[in-house]
Amino acid sequence: MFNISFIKFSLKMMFSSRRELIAVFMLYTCLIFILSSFFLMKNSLFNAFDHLIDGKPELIIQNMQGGKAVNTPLSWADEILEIDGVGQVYPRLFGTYFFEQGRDFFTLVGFSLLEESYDSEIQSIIDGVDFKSFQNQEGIYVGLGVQKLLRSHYYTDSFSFFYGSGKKLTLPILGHFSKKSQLETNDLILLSKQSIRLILNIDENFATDLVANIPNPAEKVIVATKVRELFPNARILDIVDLKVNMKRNYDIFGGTFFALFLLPLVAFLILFYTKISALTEKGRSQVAILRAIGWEIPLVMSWHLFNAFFIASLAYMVGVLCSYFFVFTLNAPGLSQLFLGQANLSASFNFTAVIPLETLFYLFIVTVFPYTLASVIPIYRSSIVSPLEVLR
Amino acid sequence: MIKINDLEFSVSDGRHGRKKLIQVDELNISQGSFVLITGETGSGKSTLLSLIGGMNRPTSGTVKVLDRTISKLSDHFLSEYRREQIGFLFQFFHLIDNLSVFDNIALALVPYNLSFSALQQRVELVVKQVGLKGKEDFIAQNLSGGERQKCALARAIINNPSILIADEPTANLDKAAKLALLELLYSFNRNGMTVLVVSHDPLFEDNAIIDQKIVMSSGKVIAL
Repeated sequence: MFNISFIKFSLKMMFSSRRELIAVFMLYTCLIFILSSFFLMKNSLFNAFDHLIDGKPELIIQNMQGGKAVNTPLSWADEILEIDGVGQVYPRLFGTYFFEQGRDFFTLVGFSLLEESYDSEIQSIIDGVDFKSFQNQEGIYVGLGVQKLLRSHYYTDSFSFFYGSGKKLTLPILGHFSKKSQLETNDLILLSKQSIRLILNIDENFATDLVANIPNPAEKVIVATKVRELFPNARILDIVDLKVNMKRNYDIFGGTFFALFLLPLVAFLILFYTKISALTEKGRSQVAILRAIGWEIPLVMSWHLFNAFFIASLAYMVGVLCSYFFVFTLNAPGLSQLFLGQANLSASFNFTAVIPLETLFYLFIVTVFPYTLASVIPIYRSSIVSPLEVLR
Repeated sequence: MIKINDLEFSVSDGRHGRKKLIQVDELNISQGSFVLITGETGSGKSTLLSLIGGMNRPTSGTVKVLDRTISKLSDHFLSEYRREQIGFLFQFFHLIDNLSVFDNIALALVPYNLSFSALQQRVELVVKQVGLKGKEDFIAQNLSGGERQKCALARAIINNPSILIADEPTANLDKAAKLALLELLYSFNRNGMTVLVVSHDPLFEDNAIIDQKIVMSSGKVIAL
């Protein structure tokens, strides 16, 4: 059935109705482009998000006063270490710094070359950092978003932090984080513990919080209870809490996402309905002509199946390729804000190319096949009618 | 060759019963004859052609063509019958307007799974027969009425059918085109093809080429 002549004439008949073909193709490509863009953005973001979550430590202990997190005494670490089930306890130094000229916030994270290990979060951040540059001099390592903002204010080689009552600390910019870690490092500045203590006014005997590593996850609840007994004003967060918090952040965008997702979906349904419910007079006439000259019903249907599959597949490919270019090269102008509203310097996040093959396969199934099958229904209806009734 | 017995064809009248469109007790058409079917509008001429051509199945009775009872064939064999034994020619040509002359004619060969060169050879042959040589690449909608009917005729005869069925084939043609078409129909008839023409055109009436004339009224054959 599918010999060269059949394919050749099917294509010829298809291209003979150019206007209709172009209209359907354009509409279908646009719909697939929108859907595919959403999937690519969501996948890229959630991939980065998963990476971030995986690196989180088991328990975070913060010192709370009046419902507000304040610096945590380092003496807590020794007491927590004595609790059974606790592997290690690391103090962390971080905080936000307001960059007045850029009217935006940076996240400062302190680290020390002398410490052999860090909690997994800091470890994931400093992966890829060139430590040699830190050995020779004090300096900062910045996220790509920070770098961009600083450059726009002519801070290309160094940056000056203001602290205390008008004092200034100028540190050279030693490098920047990679694009791969951009979701977590975009608004981040990595600097020495001495510098961050100075800028954020953190005493030597304090840290921003403590991280306790619990080798056996089953003991997490017991350890948390014991920490709370020791320090009643401590807030203890574990990875589950963090996941819930982050999920909540992304859920804010769920409604909008759903609304925008619904739009092309409704358009699809309208297109299907049009395809199923009606065949143009020209289309009915073509079917009747082919039936009159001896084409069997399966052959007529194969012809339309081939045409519809060809258009839908082509539209799918073009739509997906365009969305790939739109999301990963142009960084989804207009749509990216929908996903990235909550972080500092969020607008500068770059989507890293991740191809969700499974999702794209499902998209192919739910877009190409229904369209192809929907287009055959009116053809079947026209095929079973006497050709003479249509042609008379 | 064509034997019709107790033929009845009715359709639903949309309310309670069925409306009888045609009732023919007996009708025989011999092989190789040139038959004219006439009668007033709505007398059942086209319906009779559709039943002989395998486009409709009768409500009752039999239509036998070349000793084969086509009224009882499945869709598969009925399509094969239309493809191999019947050629249709319509009043409004019914070509696919945006396709070329070549493509319109070749469409009738697609079900045969022929190679493109074989298909090309056969199209060239019929194009020459109907006098459209050199116009193979013309788009159908750009042809004159006479040329369009010639193209439709080429499509109808490309499978070398036993019967050529023409429903008002000259109604939209000028006099020269009518004569040219009549000449072509006659030449095919002389080569053994049975030609059935439904027409009110005086060109066919009392023409010596007509072997048999069937007059219909209210779905019945009233004169042979």
